[in-house]
Amino acid sequence: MNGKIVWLASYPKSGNTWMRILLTNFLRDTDTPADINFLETGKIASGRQIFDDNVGVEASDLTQGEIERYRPYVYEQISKRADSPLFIKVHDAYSMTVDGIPLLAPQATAGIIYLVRNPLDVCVSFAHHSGIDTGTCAENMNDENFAFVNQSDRLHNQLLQKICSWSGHVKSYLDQPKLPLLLIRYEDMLEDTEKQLAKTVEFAEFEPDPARVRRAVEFSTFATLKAQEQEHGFQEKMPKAESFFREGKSGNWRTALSTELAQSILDHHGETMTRLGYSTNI
Amino acid sequence: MKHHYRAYGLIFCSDRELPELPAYDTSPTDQIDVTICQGEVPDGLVDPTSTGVLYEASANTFLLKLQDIGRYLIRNGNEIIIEPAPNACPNDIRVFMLGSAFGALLHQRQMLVMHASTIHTPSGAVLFSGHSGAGKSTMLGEMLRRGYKMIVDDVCGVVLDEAGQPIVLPGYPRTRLWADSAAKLEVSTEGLQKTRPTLEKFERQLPEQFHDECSPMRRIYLLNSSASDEIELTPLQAIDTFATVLHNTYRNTFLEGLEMRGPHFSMVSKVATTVPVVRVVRPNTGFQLTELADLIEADFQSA
Repeated sequence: MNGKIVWLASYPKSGNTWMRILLTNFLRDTDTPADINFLETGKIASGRQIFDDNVGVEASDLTQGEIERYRPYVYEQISKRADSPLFIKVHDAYSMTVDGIPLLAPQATAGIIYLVRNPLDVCVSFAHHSGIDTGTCAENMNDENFAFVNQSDRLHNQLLQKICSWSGHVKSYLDQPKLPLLLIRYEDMLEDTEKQLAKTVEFAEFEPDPARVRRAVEFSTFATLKAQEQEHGFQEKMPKAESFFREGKSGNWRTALSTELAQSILDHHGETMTRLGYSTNI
Repeated sequence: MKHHYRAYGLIFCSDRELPELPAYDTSPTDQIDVTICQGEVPDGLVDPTSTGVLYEASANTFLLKLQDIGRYLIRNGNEIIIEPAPNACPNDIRVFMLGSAFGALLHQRQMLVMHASTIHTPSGAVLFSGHSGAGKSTMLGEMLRRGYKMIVDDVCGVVLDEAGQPIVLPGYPRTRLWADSAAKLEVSTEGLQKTRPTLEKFERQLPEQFHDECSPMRRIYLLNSSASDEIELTPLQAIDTFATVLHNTYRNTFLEGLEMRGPHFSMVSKVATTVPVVRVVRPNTGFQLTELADLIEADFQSA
């Protein structure tokens, strides 16, 4: 791979932001925690601004097909201009464009860090984040055509993202044959954050100096992030959500989901859960 | 058949109709500033200074290439050559000509080109700037509703007058609105032409509400949204003013390849030291248009 971009790919609410904060603290390597509103890994692949800055015309004048066609070349431009590995968050499922080439251009890519979380917990967290009930959220997670920003009558600050179902998203990344991929489970990040961060920085070809990793983890604890959000707010919070950093735990679904809903999620995603080592017992 | 138009203080001679631009009756003494014609355009430039996904640029030459629409060659600030793709829709061709191609043309003429929608007020030009989706055209629409006249929507050309003061050149009387903005402004989209057949973005021609004269640049509002709960208007300090004008320059990334960074910097410095910039942050929970426009209007009226 010749590219400079390390994709931080995940279905929404699977630890992507936490990983970006950990990486920012690792990359900054200073004596104070990074400001969550100024993350060095602040770019998202679907951001309208990075498209407009690199293309030469605005996405707002293009059709969805044209935007999709040009997105891989945007990442090639960004990669060409970067002189060190660049982390970019992405929620799009791994897919091919209208021209049959990968949206995440291989020439732009150094590798993919794929973050995954138990879908039962994703459902609870994603429902809170979006200001919808867990039943609707579970339906979205089952929907192969689920997408972000698919309203065509307005201008959103992000571009259309084809998310796919939860299982579809996971499989789109794990089964793509082309790009080197590191799988990180949210639950393992909770269990041993230092170990998972060290693995991640090593994958991106940074030296995983233990003291530096430890400090990045200390600056990214849930309590620190929640306190920062309470004091200054967080730009990435959805308008309808009360707060972005809510619980930061695993297993909340046991009290937040009905047995029927949990069973429905297992029915749809059990196979993929098993593949990832998640229990399918209720 | 040649068509003549006047915009940005320039006389255009075009072999195609450009209904967005104000028609101009030429007299024998007039000099044509810019010619627009159909012709052959190369696939690429020889040794371009910089490239983007759809463009290549070098000193005095700029190439824009859109698959299925056409290629545009912009030279020396006085020539736009267009080679349409087979079966390209004329409206589509004009969208990118009036956007990026005009942007490159005005850059080549060493204007400061702001990404802004601009109105004329009794004290001069007020610019609404910001990235795509920040609400520039919507704010322009609201100000038109309040009786102000427009100077331009989106590609705003600025030059210095004889005294070295920045003045905004009249663009042309067209605005573009997405369907949801039109609904907020109570503008019916019935009968309005779509900018492109598949986009819910509509064009309004407003010759009656056009200020067709130069206007001294008085104030820039930088529009943005955030997770905050309230609308905030913050006058910027000098250093932030400079950065704002720099970053809100239309197609800023073209300047490198056009080798126009130097002239651009001195224009930005001049504007940043003479024109106040106010950052406007609105909650991202919704566009409280009336309240926002009330605050902005009160601010520029009291200045």
